Amino acid sequence: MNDFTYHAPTSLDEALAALRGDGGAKLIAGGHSLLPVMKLNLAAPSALVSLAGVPGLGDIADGGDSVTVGAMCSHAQVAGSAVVRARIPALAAMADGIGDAQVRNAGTIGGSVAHNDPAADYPAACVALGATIVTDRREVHSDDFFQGMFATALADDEVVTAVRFPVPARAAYAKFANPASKYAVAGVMVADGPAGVRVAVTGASGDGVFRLAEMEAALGASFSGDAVAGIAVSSDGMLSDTAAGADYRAHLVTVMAKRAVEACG
Amino acid sequence: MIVDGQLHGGLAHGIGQALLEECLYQDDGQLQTGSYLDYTMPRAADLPSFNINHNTTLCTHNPLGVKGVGEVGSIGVPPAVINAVIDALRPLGVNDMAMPATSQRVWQAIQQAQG
Repeated sequence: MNDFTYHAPTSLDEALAALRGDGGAKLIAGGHSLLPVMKLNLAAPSALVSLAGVPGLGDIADGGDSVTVGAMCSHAQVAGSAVVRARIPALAAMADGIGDAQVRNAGTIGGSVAHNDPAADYPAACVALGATIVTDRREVHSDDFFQGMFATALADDEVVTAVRFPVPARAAYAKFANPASKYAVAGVMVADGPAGVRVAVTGASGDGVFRLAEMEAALGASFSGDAVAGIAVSSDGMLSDTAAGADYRAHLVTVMAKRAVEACG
Repeated sequence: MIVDGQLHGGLAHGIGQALLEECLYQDDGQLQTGSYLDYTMPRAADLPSFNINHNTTLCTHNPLGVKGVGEVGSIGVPPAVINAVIDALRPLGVNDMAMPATSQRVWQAIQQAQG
């Protein structure tokens, strides 16, 4: 790992100033995505700007028809939040299934969405629930925020401050996890919310999270596992690795979609 | 207690070998499963509870009558697990299964058997 400068700002303005003062600076939240790639020298930022001391990023608020989760909330906090568990239990359950206990206690929702790992769980939850990503300067709908593997709508000096989730009538997430890493090989979030039925897939595609319009239409007509069980997903563009080839991943997407629908009750 | 613990470890080793653990290489020789992000070491949650029974006999080849138990599970378990997998899949036309019987390998074997 290369040497780097460490900034510990105590306000969002200080964090932004540190970020703008060094073109090679990166934000760090829980460090569960950035530190591993730094250890492998796949990333070598000249400075890290920690968000740990910035106030106001760790709250979870019930807004009535939505729930807003602060960017620095750990996965364990989301999983254990009384508000999230009562209003969007599928989101709490999804957070409770990320990685392992160490990952859940350090990794954050803001870090996860900003990193946009193609096998991360949060992008599927955000897109299926129709979440809005709140930054220091604007709000971006998740449909526009996630832009392919490790790519988002964020500017280099932009900070995710919260994610706002509309409360769905029903939702569920089903994941086939890599047996070693616990990352999603195929993770499907199904949500029946204010914008209709949305089905979002993570872990499977080289382009990151994507929606399945054919399944959404089928579920709009008949919300049942059988409605999606027969819908085959193309393996074109699917990831292929030691855990699952493209054909198997495509098969798993359909299976996970059916399980998620059935888990909606 | 020590013997049961050794057997638990051996069973985990054998089950891991039968279902999870595999060293995979690219064509150029690069190891693909070089970390525990890719190489599936069996963990406690991957295993059932074990019911251990002992049939104790003294070893006749040394004065103390002792023998090792650490590898008992790792020797007997892989064929037992693979036989169970094949037994489960035989109605689908699957008669052979390479180790480790990962979910993908089981799925592929079913696909191939059903043509």
